[in-house]
Parts: sequence; structure tokens; C-alpha cells
Amino acid sequence: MLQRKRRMAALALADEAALEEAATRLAASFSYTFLRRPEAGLLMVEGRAGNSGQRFNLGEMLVTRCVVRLQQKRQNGQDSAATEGYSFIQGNRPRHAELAAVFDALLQQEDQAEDLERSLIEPLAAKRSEALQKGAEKTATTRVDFFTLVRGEDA
Amino acid sequence: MSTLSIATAPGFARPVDDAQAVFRAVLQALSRPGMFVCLPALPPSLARDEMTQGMLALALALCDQDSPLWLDSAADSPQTRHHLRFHCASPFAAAPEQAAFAFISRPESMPRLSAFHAGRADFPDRSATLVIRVDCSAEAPESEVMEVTGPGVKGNERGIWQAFRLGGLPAWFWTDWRDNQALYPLGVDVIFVESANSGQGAPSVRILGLPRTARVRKAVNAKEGSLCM
Repeated sequence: MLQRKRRMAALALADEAALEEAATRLAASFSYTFLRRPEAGLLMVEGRAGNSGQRFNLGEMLVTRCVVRLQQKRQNGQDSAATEGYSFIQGNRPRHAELAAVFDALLQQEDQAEDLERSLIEPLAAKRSEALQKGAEKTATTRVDFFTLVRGEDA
Repeated sequence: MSTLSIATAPGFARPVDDAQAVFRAVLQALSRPGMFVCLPALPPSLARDEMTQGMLALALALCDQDSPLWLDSAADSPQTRHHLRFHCASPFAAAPEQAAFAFISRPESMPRLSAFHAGRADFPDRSATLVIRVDCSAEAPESEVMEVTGPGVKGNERGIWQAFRLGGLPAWFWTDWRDNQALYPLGVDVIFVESANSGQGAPSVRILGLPRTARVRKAVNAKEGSLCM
């Protein structure tokens, strides 16, 4: 998966509180303005029959999106070049969308990217895969195998 | 890394309220031909001001993914296109006749009115709307007092005409307008946008609507009017 796509996915699926905490930690080092304030709306999710056939509308989904423009404050008083951060978050979650967009912009600031990747994205991804793993294990314990008699009509 | 090289500016400060207020002003302008109407909200301007704040306000209020835009060569720039694509998600028309909205910053070199889509008999509402930047100051060069009548002009049934003055239009404009008006129910609609801020202090931009029903002639002795506060 593309690096940015993977990071944006991690931010979108993250716990809002975890993002809030990371943002508070870094708050003094950057400033941002909104290019598009967080706004919630419905997005049509499309599918393809058999994954490759005709397109069809699967259904609508509530999404919050946000775009910010962010600059880092440097020691020498000069601001870094601005980067634009985008986010699309499931549900009506304006604050989450704002934070995710801020981090997407921060991750495009070259001197920040590696730090953040290690301190934020990797833990978030680990937490997520752990949660998925747990869910899968819990489901696996309830697994039932069905045996049916073949009646021979289909043969 | 996909950092966009062209900076995007924010749109309206309050996207929903401001766009609705501007839409209301456009309705007012098109239902009262020849009267100036103030735009109640303006987005921040772009670095290049060929696409004025007033034109941007109309673009943000009116355009969406179903309305192909055409920009004249003065208004057109990668930055403007990026800005409109970002905020309106509109596609861009390759030629004037494919556009739902045309934004014209230099009317003196604009295409003739017949170059724009006038609608079809079964869908007259699919015609183009032209947003034209004009100079409304009294000392504008070549500005001529014109007058208009038709639905929406107070007293039009008694033969009353409403006067207005616009500067910077090409010489052929009012001849073309007569041909356009004769196409009714087909034909393009025009919204004129003042290029300069008219008032001191709070910036305000006036618009003037000419729907295809409006008949225009050189002024005889009618009074100019404005719905601006």
C-alpha cells in the first residue's frame, strides 16, 4: 500500500483520544488554518458485481471530511513550507477529522515524518491489528462446522 | 510525496450559510432585472485578482460537480482551476458551448453570446449562465446608460423601463442580447458582477441580473435603481 494511503488509513481508524493526546504533545510546534472546515455528509459507496463486473451503488455512508493547511514553527522564527492535510472519517466526527487532517499534513513535513511514523502511526497500526486479531479469535471460538448430506441432485 | 504545488485558499467562512445567502442574492438579481443587488458574503480573494471575489462568490454558491465551467483566458489559471475544482468539484468545459457557467473577466474580448449554449426546446433550463465582470463606476469608459423592461421590472406592464449603467462591454453586446432575447424560451442568462468594491469599509460587491426575458434598449429618460442597502 502507498505510504500516504497507509498513514491516512491508520489516522482514520485510530482512537480519537489517542490523536488528541499526540496533538496536545506537539501543539506548540505548528499552526494551521482550515481550507475546508470539518463537514459531515453522505458518500455513495460503489461496488462492482463479482469485483470486476457492473458498477452498482452499495449504499450511502456518513463521512466527515476536513482539509487543513499547516506550517511548522522553526527555531529561527521562520515557518516551514505549508503542507495540506486531508481526512475522510467514518461517521459524524468533526474533531477526529480535524486531527487526522492535521497529522496528514504533519506527516508531509519532511523533518517530522519519520518521528511521527514511529511515535504515532506504528503504535496505532499495532493497536488496530491487535484489536482485529482479538476479534478474530473471539469469533473463532464460536465457530461451528456444518455437515450436510449430499443428496446428489446437483451432480 | 504528493504535496500540491499550487496553494489552495479557503472558500466561504461559513460554507452553507454564505452560499445560501449568495444564492438568494442571485435569485433577487435575476427576478429584478436592471437593479443592483449586494452580495451578502464574499470568500477570500485569490492572489491573482482576474477572478474577482464577486465572481468567486458566485462560483462557490452556484457550481457543483454537474456544472461544467468555462473561464475566459484572463480568468483562467492553474491556481483558479485548482481552487474551483477543490471547492466546487466542477469539471471544466473545453469550449464555451459546453459550459453551464461561464466566467468572463475581460468582456471586451469575450466570445459572442451565440457561442454559448442556449438550451434546447425540450430542456430550455439547461442553457448557460454567464458571469461577466463589469465596471460600474459612473466614470467608466464607454459606459452607456441602458434601460430594461420585462418580467420583474416594476411597472413593465405600463411600459416602464428601468435604467442601469455598465462599463466595459463590447460594442456588439446589446445587439447580441436582442438576438438572445428573441430566442425565448431559449437563450442564456447573464449576471454582471462589479469589479471594484463600491463601498468604503466593509467590502461589498454588487451584481445585476439579466434573465433571457429582459428587453434592453438605449436609455431615453428612465431612473437608475439599486436594491443595495
